[in-house]
Amino acid sequence: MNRKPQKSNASAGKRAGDDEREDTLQAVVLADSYETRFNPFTLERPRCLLPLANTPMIEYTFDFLANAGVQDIFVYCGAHTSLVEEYIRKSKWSLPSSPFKSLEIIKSTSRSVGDAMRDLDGRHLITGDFIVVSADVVSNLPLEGALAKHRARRAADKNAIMTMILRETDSTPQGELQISAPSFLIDPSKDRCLFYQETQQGMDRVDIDPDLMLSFPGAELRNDLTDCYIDICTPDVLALWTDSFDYESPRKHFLFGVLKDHELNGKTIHTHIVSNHYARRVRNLQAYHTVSRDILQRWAYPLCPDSNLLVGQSYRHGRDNIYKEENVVLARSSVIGPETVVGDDTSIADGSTIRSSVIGRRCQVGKNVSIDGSHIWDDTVIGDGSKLRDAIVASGVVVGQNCNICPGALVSYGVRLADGISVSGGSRITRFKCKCNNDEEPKAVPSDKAVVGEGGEGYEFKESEAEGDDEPETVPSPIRLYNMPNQAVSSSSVSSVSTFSSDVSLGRIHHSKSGSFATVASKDGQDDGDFYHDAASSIFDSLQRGDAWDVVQLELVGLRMSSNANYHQVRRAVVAAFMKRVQQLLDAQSKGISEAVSELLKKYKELVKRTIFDYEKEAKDDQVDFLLLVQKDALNREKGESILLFTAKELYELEIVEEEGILQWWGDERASEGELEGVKGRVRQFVEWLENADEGTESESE
Amino acid sequence: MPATGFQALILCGPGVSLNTFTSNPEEFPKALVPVANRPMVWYPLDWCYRLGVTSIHLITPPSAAPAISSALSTDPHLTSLPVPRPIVLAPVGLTQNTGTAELFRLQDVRAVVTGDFIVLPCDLISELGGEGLLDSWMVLQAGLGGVTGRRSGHNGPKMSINGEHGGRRGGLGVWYETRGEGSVKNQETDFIATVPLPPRPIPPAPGSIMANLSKVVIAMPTDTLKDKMTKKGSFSVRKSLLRKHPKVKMLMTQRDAHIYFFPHWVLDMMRHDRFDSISEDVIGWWAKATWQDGLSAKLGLREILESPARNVSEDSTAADVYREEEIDIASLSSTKVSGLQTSAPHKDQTAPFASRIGDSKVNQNTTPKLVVPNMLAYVHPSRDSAPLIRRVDTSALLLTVSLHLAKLGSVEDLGSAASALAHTSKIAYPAGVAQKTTITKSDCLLADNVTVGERAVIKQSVIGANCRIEIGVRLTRCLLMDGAVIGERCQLDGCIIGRRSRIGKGSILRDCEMQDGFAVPDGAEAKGENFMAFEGLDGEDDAGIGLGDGGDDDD
Repeated sequence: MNRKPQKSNASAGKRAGDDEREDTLQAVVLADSYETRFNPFTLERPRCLLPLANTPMIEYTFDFLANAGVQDIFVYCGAHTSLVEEYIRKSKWSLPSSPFKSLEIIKSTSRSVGDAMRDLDGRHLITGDFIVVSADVVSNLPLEGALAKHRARRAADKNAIMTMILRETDSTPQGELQISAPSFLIDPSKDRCLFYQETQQGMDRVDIDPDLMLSFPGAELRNDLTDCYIDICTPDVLALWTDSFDYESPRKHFLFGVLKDHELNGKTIHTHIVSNHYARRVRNLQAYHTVSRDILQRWAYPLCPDSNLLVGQSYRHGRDNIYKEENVVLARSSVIGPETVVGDDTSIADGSTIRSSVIGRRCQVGKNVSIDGSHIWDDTVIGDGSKLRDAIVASGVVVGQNCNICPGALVSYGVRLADGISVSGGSRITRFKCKCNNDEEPKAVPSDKAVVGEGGEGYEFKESEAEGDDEPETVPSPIRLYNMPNQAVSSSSVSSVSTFSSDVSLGRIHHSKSGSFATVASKDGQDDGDFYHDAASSIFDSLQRGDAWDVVQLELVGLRMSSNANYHQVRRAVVAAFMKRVQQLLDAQSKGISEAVSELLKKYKELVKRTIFDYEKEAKDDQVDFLLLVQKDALNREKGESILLFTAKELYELEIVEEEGILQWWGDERASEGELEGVKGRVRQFVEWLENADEGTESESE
Repeated sequence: MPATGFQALILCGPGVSLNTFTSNPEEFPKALVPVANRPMVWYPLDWCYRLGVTSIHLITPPSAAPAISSALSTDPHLTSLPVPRPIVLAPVGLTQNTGTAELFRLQDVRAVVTGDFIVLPCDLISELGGEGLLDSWMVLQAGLGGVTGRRSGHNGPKMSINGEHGGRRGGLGVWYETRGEGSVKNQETDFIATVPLPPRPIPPAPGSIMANLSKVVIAMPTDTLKDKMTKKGSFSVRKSLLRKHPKVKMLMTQRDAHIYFFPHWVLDMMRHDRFDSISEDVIGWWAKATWQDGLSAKLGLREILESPARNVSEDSTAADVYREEEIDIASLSSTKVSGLQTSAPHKDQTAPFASRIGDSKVNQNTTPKLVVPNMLAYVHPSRDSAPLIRRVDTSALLLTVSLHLAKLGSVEDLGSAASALAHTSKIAYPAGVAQKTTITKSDCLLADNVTVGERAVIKQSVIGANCRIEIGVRLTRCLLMDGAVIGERCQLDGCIIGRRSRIGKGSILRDCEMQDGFAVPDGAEAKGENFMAFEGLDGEDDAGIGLGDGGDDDD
C-alpha cells in the first residue's frame, strides 16, 4: 500500500557476489493468530493490536523485523482487516522515515496459517528467502547470524528449506515451559531438526523412529526449547504448503508432516538455537503476563517502555523499574510499587496502591484502590475502594466503587461494572454484540445483571463450545494468573476467529477447528489417520480432475483393502473430499450451492451409493452415519447450513439416501449434540416437508 | 603424586573374538597377546602406574593364573614395570564365562576391594592418561574430608559428612568414538544417552577433559537397543526423563572403554543378583535410577547409600571441621537439579517400593527423597588428533592398533617428548638388519633380535622378537608375533602371523590371520583366510609344523 522510492541498501554490499538472489529481504507478518486464546478481547480487536506494556504487540514485531534488515513486509490479515490497516496507515511504519521499503496489507479469507501460506503462494509476491513471523512476537534478536547460516546451508543444499528460530530456556525453566514444550530431535552437527512432537496430555513418552536413531548418531532430544515462531523460509516452503492442502498449523501439521515425509520430499528443516537474546511469542494469556513482566524487567532490552516505540510516548524509567509518562497525576498518599507502568494523563487518587501492574493512558483510578499484577488498558475508570488482582481490564471499562476483581478475570472493552460487584476469577465479561443469525444485524446481548450489577453493561462470555480435544497444552501453570481451565481447553490452536470479518459470517461464534483432513484424523485415532488422509486427498484430486466415478471407486477400493479400513472410514473420506470440493467450487464462485452439490452428486452417485449397504434393512445405520458426517463437516464451513440442506435434498432426490434414512438421522441423538444442532436449522423445513409428504402418502393409502 | 586412594582391578577375561590367537586360554590368555610387541596387559598396568595407582589386582580365572604369573616374572616388558608388583588374583569359582559384575560377588574379590576402585579391562590401549579422569572425578564426585571413603584402615574423616548421602561420590566411565580414523568395521558399540552437567561457576581450564563430561541417563549395548526398537517399532523416551533433563544427547557409535571409577558403595550395589555385566547392567540400571523414580529403591540403593553402619559419634569432630564446606559444595554439586524434586506425586510412586526396606516402613511417608549419585561419562572426542583409546578385542583392531602404535616416535629419537607408549627404539636390533633393505622407520616397529634378509621391503609393520625375515620378503601392514619365520620372497599384506609360525617360500598372503605355531607350505596363496588348527596343538614344543590344511586350499 505504501511503496516508497528505493533506499540505499546497507546489506547490498555484503552479498554483492550473489547474483541469484533478490537483494531485498521479505517478511510475512501473520496479523491474525487464527486462535481464540485471547477471547473475549479478540472479538473486537485483533491480537496484534492489543497493548502489551501499553504498546500494541505489532510494534514489537515490526521493530524486530526492522532490526533484522527486512525491507518488504506483507501483513496478512484475517479478522479485523480494517482495524489493522487503519492502525498501520497511521503508524510510523508508513511514514517516509520507515525502514521498510514497502509495507503491503493483504486481505484474505484465510482461516489458518496454512490458508494464508497457500494464498501467498498463489500471489507470487515472494521472490527470495523470507521470514514468516506472527504479529505477536517480541524479540531483540539480531537475525544476521541465522540468516547467514540459512543462506550458507541453502547454497550447499537446495533442500534446506527452512530455519526455525528456537530459544534455549534457562537452566531453571518455569514449569509452564517445561511441561508444554514440544520435543525436538536435533542433529547438532547440522542443526537439522529430525523429529518434532507436540506434547499432548497423557503422553508420557516420546516415540522416535528407529531409523532416525540409527542414521543420526549423536542426535539430541530436547525439551528445553521455546519456539519463537520465527521462521526463515525459502519459496519452496510455499510450494510445500500448496502441495499439502490440508496443513493448517505451521508446527503441528507442516513441520511434523514435512519431517515425516522426508523420504518423499527430501526437504530438510533446520534450527537456529539462541540462548543470549530475548525472543518469545505471546501465544496465550500466560505468555502475555510473562512477556509483559520480562519487558518491564528489561530482559528484552531495548524493547522496554522507555524506548518509547510509539510516536508520542514519553516514558521514563525510574528506580525499581517504574515507568511513568509525563502527565501522570499521583496523589501524595498513593503508592506505586516496583515494575509498574503508568500512561499519560492517568490519575491515581489518595490511598491507592499499584503493584507490578500496567496502567494505560487517561485512566482514572479512585481512592483506596488496590491493583496488583493487573493489566489495565487505556481510558478505564476504577471506582474508589475497588480491588484488582491479576486481571486484565480492557479499554473504556468503568469499574464501580468497591468492586472486587479476582485473579484471572478478563473484562473486555466498554464493560461497566456497577458498584460493589465482585467478579469471580476466570470469568470473562464482554459487551460484544453477537450476530445471532445470519440475516440479522448484530445485536447487543442483554446485560446480565447478576454479573455486572444494576446499571452495568456486559455479560459473561461463554465459548459456545468447549471443544478442542486435541489441544496440546493444558497447562498446570505455577503462574496463578489467567490459569483458567476452560481457557486452556478452548484455546484450540487451529481455531479461527477470522469468520467475524469475512463477509459471510456464520450466526455464531466460530472457533472450532476448520474441516481439515488432518485435524479430523487426529480425532479419530492414529490408526485410520493414514487411510483417511490418503483416501480423502486421492478422492479430492479425482474430483478436481473430474475422473469417472468407477475410476475413483477402483482407487478407493484399493486403498481400503491395503489399509484394511472399515466402511465408516471410507464414508468419512468420501464426505470430506466431497465437501472440500463443494467448498472449492463455491470459493471459485462459479456456481451456487445447490448447483455445485447437485452436479457433483449426480456425477458420483454410484460412488457414494457403494459406501452404503443398508438399503434393504430396517435400521438405516449407514445412511445415518453418512448424513452425520456431512453434518459434522458442514459445521465448519461457511454456509454450512445451506450446504447441508442441499446435500440432504440432493441425496434424497438421487435416492442415495432414503426417506427413512433422513428421518432416522433427524431423530438421532448424535445429530443434535452440542454444536451440531446449529447447522440443522435450514434442514428442518426439508424434513418437515418430508414428514408431511409421508403422512400424505400414508393417508392416501388408507 | 600422593596416593589417590584408588585401587585398580584389571579383569583378564577370555579373548573370545581373538580366538585365532587365544585358542588355548590356559597356556596363552588374551592378556598376553602382544600389541605392538608388548603383552596386552602391560598397557592397563602401565596406565595405572602412571596414574599413581599402585595397588593393582589382576583378576583371572584360576586356569589362566599360572600363565599370567609366569609372564609377570619373565616377560621383559612386564618385569620392567615399577614396584609394587601387581597381584594375580584367581578367585575360586571364576570361570571364563563369569559376568563382569557377577565376579564382584565372589568372596575373594570382595575381600580385596577395600576402598574406591577402578575397573579396567586387560585389552585397553589408552594414550589418554588417567590423571585427567581422576582429577575430574575428584572435583565433581569426591566426598569431602579426604579424597575417598575407605571403609576401614584410614585415618581421614568419614564420608558421612558429604559423601553418597549428599549425592556425591558417583562413578565415572569412559566412552570413545568408534568411527573416524582407524575405524574398523563391525565394531561393537554401546548406546548411551547423556545430559550435560549443570554449568559450573568457573569454566574448565583449557585442555581439561571437564568439558567432555556429561551424565549418563540411559546406557545399553547398541545391539540391545536395536532389538528393543525392532520389537517396539520405535524408540521411546519417557517424558519424566525429559522433564528432569530437557536436553538429552543420544550417542550411538560410542564404545564403552570399560574404565570405571567406582566408589566403594558400588561393590555393595553389585551384590544384587540383577547385575550380570558392569557395562550393561550396572551402568544401565544405575543411570536409570538417577532419574527414574522408584528404581533406586528397587535396586536397594537406599539401604546402601544410607547405611546405618556409619558411626556418627566417630565422625562428629571431623564433621565440625568440614561443616562449612559441606554447605558450599552441596550448592555447587551437580545433583542440585534432582535435589529439588520433592513434589508429592513422586512420593506416592516411591511408597510401594520403599516399603520393601525393612526398617523404614514406619516412616515411609517422611523418608527424604533419595538422591542417587551420578554416573558420569567422559565421552572421548573423535578428532583425528585426539589421543587413542581402544579396546583391542578383535583381530582387526589388534592389527590397526598395533600399526597405530608403531607410528609413535621412539624415545631414542624424541627423548622426553615421546609418547608414554613409545618404544625405546624403532629397530631394537639394528645389527640383524641386512644391507639393501627398505624399512620405513616411521611406521614400523622391529623388536629385539629380529633378522631381516637382503632386499626385504617392510612397510607399516610390527615385527615381534626373534622373528626371521628372509631375503626379498615384502611386508605391508603386517603384524608378526614373536618368533615367526617368513620364507624367501614372500609377499604379505595385512596379515597377522601368530607366534613361531612359519611361512614357506614365495607365499602370497593377503588379509590372513595365522594361529600360533602354524606352518604354511611353500608357494601358498591365500586371501582373507584364517589359518588355524581345529585340534588343539600337542604342546609348545611342536611349534613349526602345524597340522592345518588351510594353506593349500587355494592352489
